[in-house]
Amino acid sequence: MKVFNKNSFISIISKNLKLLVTSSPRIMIFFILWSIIYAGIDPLILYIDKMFIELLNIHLENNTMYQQVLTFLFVSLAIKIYRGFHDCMMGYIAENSILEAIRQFRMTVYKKCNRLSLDNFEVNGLYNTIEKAIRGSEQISSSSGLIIYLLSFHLISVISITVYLFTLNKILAFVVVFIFIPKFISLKIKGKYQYKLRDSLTADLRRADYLKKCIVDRNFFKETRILNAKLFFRKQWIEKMIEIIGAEWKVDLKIFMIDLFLSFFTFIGYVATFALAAFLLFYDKIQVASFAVTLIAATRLFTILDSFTNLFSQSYHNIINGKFVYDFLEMKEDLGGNKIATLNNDITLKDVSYIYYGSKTKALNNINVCIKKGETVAIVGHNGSGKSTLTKILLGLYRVTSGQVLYDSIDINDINTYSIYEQSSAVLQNYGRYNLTFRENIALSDISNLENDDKIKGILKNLNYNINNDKYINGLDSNIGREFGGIELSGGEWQLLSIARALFKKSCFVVLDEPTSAIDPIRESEIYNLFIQLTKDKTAVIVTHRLGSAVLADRILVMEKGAIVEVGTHKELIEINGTYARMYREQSRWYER
Amino acid sequence: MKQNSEYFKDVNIFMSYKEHNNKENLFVDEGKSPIIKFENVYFSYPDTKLEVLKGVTFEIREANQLALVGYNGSGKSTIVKLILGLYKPDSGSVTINNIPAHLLSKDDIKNIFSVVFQDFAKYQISFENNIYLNNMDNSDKYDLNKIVDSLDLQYTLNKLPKKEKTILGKEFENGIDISLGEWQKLAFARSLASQSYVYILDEPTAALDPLAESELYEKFKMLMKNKSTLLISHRLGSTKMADTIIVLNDGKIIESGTHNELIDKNGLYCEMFEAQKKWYSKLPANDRGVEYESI
Repeated sequence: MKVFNKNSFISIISKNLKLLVTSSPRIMIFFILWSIIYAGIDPLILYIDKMFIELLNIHLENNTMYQQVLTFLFVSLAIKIYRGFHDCMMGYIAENSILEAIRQFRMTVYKKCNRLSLDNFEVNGLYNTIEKAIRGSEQISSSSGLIIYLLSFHLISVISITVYLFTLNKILAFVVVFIFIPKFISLKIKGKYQYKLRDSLTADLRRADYLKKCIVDRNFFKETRILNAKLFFRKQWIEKMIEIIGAEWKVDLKIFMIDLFLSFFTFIGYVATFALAAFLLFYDKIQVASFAVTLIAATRLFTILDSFTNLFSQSYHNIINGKFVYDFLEMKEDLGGNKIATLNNDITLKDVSYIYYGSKTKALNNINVCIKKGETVAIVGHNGSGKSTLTKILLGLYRVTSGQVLYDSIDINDINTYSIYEQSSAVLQNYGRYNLTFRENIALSDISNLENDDKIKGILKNLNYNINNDKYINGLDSNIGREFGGIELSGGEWQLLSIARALFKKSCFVVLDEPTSAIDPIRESEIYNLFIQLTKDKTAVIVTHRLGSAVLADRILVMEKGAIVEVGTHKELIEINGTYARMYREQSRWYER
Repeated sequence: MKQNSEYFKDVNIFMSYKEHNNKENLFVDEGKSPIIKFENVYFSYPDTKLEVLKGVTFEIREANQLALVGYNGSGKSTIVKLILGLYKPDSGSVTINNIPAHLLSKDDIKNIFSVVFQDFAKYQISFENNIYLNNMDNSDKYDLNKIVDSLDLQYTLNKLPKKEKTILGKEFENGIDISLGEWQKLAFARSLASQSYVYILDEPTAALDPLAESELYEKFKMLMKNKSTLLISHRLGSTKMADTIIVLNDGKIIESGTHNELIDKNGLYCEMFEAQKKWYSKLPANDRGVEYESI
């Protein structure tokens, strides 16, 4: 599956700048103006310093101009203080604009996740891609800010200082070359290595992070500790970390050697500057004041170029990470066409097969089924026979590998998938355990009724879920889940909550995948009766291992190894005396006294 | 620096938490399953006021099969956490061969217990590592094929491109996901491979199909001959085989006894059993009047 486009360095920069300017134009303009003013301060300081030194020279020779010397000293100090202030402000403005850009970028990435079809999430590489994209989105936002800063401040600053030196003596303009070239070379070499490292380590870092989680994370902690499996994970984690640190160390060493080598050139650049200025002074081409100012300018250029190279190498590396963002944002979206499905009619699957990414076996093999409007269908079968996969196809979450899915006789590829989601509700096997309030957990499926206490209480009453006790201290507004200090629910209570959420939503298609696996027997009976009652006019699909509940369905599909092997009512299937009958007998045997 | 030193404060606070670090192995391995005792146990979770257990007393004797049933949220899983020493009771005692459970070392816990949690972990590591997680060194001792056979995982294993070396789950490259029921079987396999004295099974078959469930319990019955089990289940057909069934309601034990005794008692257990049995005893007519075509 080839999903990525190539994005070049230049196209990333231009996309970044476009996004940054459009996301917050006013801040950007202010930012640019502010940088340009900042850049103008440098030659001004040099000019004042030069004047100061000249005046000081005159003052030392004939003891006049005392007042002027003092004035220039104060002006020089004042400007330097102002530069400090300007610097701080700069940081503040930059921070703000970058935060705004990060927010915008993240929104874009998350929206993209939402628009990708769920199949993509079965592609293992996708999680790496998303992680890289989210990390990259922060990096490119700050790097785009930096680039604007580099262009508007550093470039202007360097040019203005160069021009100023040029006015002192044409040859002095070479100073910039001496300082710039070694820096530029080190920059290019370093950037390349750092990028390579980052790219090769993403997958390893994620794996190391996962192994660490297996020991300390809430979801694993209990089991890992009882199994005393910490050693196993620690060993694997250490191996991974050694691998990562080894790779980092190698690259760091290389970068260090390069730095060492290049700093020698930087030194030569500095010596050359000094020699040039001294030469000009010696042959009376420049005055003492100009000589001093040249050295000041050279030091300043060093500082600017240092920060320039640092910022640039940072953003160079960030921009390359930005490639991940754009590669991700340009992934193919598959949310079907523009037609709206009302789900007021049949759902038909024709010759449907589905293969999970990376797998060779067909999870679904040539499925043909038509689910009538208002019909209740139960799906039963062995573990791993494809029941849950089938429900995901029916809900429009997965796209079939081959075959055709039709809603109201319209092909799913012509339908906007969100119109299917809007009309359906589901209790899936791995339902969400949201650490939100009780109320939010239920109304999440229909947020417009968040404050509709009557409706929420009605659902709870239907489910016989009593929250008028000490446990739910704040009633509907109690926080659920221990992660943020809320109430801990038992497995069954979480499941009840997810059923309540599914029932809360107005829908005409309901999918229940093992909805009562953790629910006590009395309530389970009640819930199935409730389902039957509530789905009377709806189309419903129930995956269940409790065959007693399948009895209530209009039709039962029995699945085996990805195929539908038996279809019929309970009575018919018992008569056929196949898999279903065997399963039913096996289960009912447990209830003979 | 200043910012980092603030973080350092948090590290210090975390490091100063009281440690559950019992290095000393207190459990004496006598080659038989230990006696587990709950005596008048009261418990509420840390930082919460709600009492989850209100005076619970029971005992699991040597090679005893105990089942816990009750409504959702009645405190069943909490009992498991206390037995495993994950928490300490507020009052009363939880002991294993007269040693308070929370004093046992990690090695003790591993030697005594095998647990299938209700929210079992889905480790994104290879199939075989998922099974031999805590005994990598002597993994040859337990035959992989035997475990795969006894849990009917053959079909699952054959689907995997690199067989038992395949990384499971879809979080990482080259990983292959399996269904929830298959993950649950794997969690069960893991507990079988760890060869302990007491098996704690919290809803171990919630996601299993009826045949797999039946088969699993049948095999389990044989494997558990000299071992103790604590089974939590809403499938009351499966709790029938337990020596003792304890019915929990709102943190208290309201009934206990064998299946037959509890049925005769006609209390909550009987009500639950009948509720479930009902599904298998009559054939409701299909009176919904929906017409459908055959396909």
